[in-house]
Amino acid sequence: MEEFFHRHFENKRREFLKGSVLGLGGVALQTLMGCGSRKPAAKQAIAAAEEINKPLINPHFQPRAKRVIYLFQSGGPSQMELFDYKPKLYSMHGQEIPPSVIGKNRISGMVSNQYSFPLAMPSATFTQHGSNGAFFSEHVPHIASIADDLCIVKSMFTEQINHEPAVIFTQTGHQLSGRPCIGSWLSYGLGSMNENLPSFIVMLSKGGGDQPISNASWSSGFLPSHHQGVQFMSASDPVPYLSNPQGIDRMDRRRALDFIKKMNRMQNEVWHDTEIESQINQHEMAYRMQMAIPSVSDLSDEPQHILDMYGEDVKKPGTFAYNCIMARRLAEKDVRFIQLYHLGWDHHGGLYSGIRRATKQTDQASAALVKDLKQRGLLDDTLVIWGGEFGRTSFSQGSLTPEGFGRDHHPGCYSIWMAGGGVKPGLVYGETDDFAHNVVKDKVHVHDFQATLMHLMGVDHEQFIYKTQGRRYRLTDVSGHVVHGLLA
Amino acid sequence: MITSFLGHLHPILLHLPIGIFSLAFVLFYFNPDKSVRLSKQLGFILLLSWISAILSAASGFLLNTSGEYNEQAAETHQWLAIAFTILCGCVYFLHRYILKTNQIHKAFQPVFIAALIAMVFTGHAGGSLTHGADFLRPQQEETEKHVKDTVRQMLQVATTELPNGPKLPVVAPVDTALIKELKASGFTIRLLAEGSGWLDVSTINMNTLTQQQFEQLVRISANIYGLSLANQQLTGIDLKLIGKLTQLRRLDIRNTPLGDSFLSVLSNLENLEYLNLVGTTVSDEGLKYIVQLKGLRKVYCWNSQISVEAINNLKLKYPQLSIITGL
Repeated sequence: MEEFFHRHFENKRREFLKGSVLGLGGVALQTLMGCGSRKPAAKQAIAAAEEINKPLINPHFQPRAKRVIYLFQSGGPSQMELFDYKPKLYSMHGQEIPPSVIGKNRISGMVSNQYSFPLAMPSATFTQHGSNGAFFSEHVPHIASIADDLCIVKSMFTEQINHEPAVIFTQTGHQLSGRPCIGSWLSYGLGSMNENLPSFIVMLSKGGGDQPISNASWSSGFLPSHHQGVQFMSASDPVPYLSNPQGIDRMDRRRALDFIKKMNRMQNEVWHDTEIESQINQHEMAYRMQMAIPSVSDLSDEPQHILDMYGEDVKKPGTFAYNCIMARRLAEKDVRFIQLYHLGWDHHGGLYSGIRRATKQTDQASAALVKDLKQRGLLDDTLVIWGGEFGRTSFSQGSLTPEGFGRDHHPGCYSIWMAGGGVKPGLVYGETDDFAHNVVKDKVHVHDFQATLMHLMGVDHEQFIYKTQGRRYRLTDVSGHVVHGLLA
Repeated sequence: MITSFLGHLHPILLHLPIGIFSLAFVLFYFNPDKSVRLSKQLGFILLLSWISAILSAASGFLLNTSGEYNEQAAETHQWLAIAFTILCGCVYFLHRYILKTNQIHKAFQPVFIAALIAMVFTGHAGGSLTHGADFLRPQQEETEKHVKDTVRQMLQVATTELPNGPKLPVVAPVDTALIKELKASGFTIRLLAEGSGWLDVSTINMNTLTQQQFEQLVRISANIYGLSLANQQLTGIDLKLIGKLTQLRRLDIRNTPLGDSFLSVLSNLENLEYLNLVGTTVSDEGLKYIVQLKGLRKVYCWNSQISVEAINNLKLKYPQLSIITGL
């Protein structure tokens, strides 16, 4: 009986496989018959799209910045613990946040079961720095030392309350993945200044936190894929396979690449696929990077006092400090967009220790990067951005304990800072209410920030568009205004 | 395929009704021999003009299916052509009636004149479609308009190039072929902004800059806004030529072996605003040349041979000059 069932099962399985094969074969045959090559109409459509989707090559107007170094602090740094000094939080510590302050603002699901929202005083004391007397917390003494070079925006706000959509929103202008990020837009639009290095490089620091980050944040979306961010490894060898295998010399590589390129070009003649061109570009870039990367990643020529400026972690590959000095070296090589991601700012609990750890890892190196660029004359045309995807609540998430409390995500306001690249130095822009919960003056939406960034790079965000799938797209979607108050 | 071929005959066919119908019109009104008006020959000419008008309209219709023309303008031309063809037919049949009755029908002349007007408008609409609406405008006026537009565009560039910053004078753009040539020799050249004549020149992608390459920059001297020679060894290069780049605003010679003697060649650069001397061998001696540069606003001299005392003295003497040293 058992054998009977076994046979029956075998038969059914065979029939299923046979049927599937025939079905797939039919589909394949149809494909073979239907598309020997793209039809003239398709070619015309591609040609028309290429005509519309031309890169800018030249900026719309004179740029104030040639390069961007974006120090992205992923997780949502607490504005109250860093740059947005609120004395009232100390005096009202433990009291309920007034309902009028919360209003109809969105709160995350993580505090939906919470019935008490006690205000929590910041885990730090604040002092004034710089000629404008800007407040900085004790957690960021090094950043405070460059107060006169900073343009602090305290009135940022976003529409997203969870990490992934908020990060994607900040980077691409839309909360869903699939659109190009800022670096890709600029790489596509303005091209590369150094032909031996990618125009968009991404570095993730290790040891920050466990909040994951998706590579959709440095995706080129619908733009040609060679404009996506090239991610350097958090290791001593940031780009693997730089050296040729044993027995293969550089000329062998060249010959192989030339042959592959020839084959790819032949395929492109038939298919007219932009991704084939991207593949060729990526192969060529990889070949040129073999020569260029070792000189960038070799820190042996850095004087000790420069290394000391970045902090003790600078020699540990993959740390934020290491990535900062790498960012400076890449900026010296005219890489257009350098993006650092530091995780570890998502302090739902244990805020006191968490914020100390995060600032210890980032404060000194962030300030050192600005100082180093400035002394080399590069800060003039390099825009440095420091900021995350949203802020944090002024009330405690969970019970308010002396050490263990945390803060939840807060999209209503958060602080970022910028330096160099045409922004007004020594400026504190925007104001929040007494609880750092709502923006009360000079609101800056994520799209406004993106429009301003584009403006500093000489690009009119409303004119820089790419048409795909029947509609025109831009980084700022259908909104965003340049914040002229931030411009030098 | 065949429709495309027939459509492409339209530029030839369209001239036939114009010529033939005009001939009929001239014969009818301007021939001293009035007997022609009632002749079979004129009837034949009118028939030919009607047939050629039908052929011309049909070929035009086929040509328009290619979608290469402005839709609205093509539609205007199409309906005018249809009107002309119908009127042409009416003229022919009215003329046949004349031949039969031996007297001119009272509708004949209004229709004849209407057909002529329709022909003129059809021809004009077709001409505008292919040559542009301004085709009939006198050349001089056109040139004047072009110059005015160009100047207006240049002025717009001049006022929008530097939002919230100093304005730049307008310079004539460099020939793109020359830029291509210089790029081919290794220079990285970018327009400061689209439509601007100002150029930003860099040697970032050149392993070694040669004298021959360097001399080529003189050809675009009036347009160079910024020049970066950073990290170049510059051995055996006669840098006196930099003195000819009188429009230069930004000069970056960081991490080059250049020293005080080089600064002496910069005395002509009255527009120079930014000078990067980081990592050079420029010393206190070179400062005397720097202070002669009246337009200079920022000097970067970290890691050079300039002493702290000399920098402090300079800061006191020239407070408008921003001198950035190590931090």
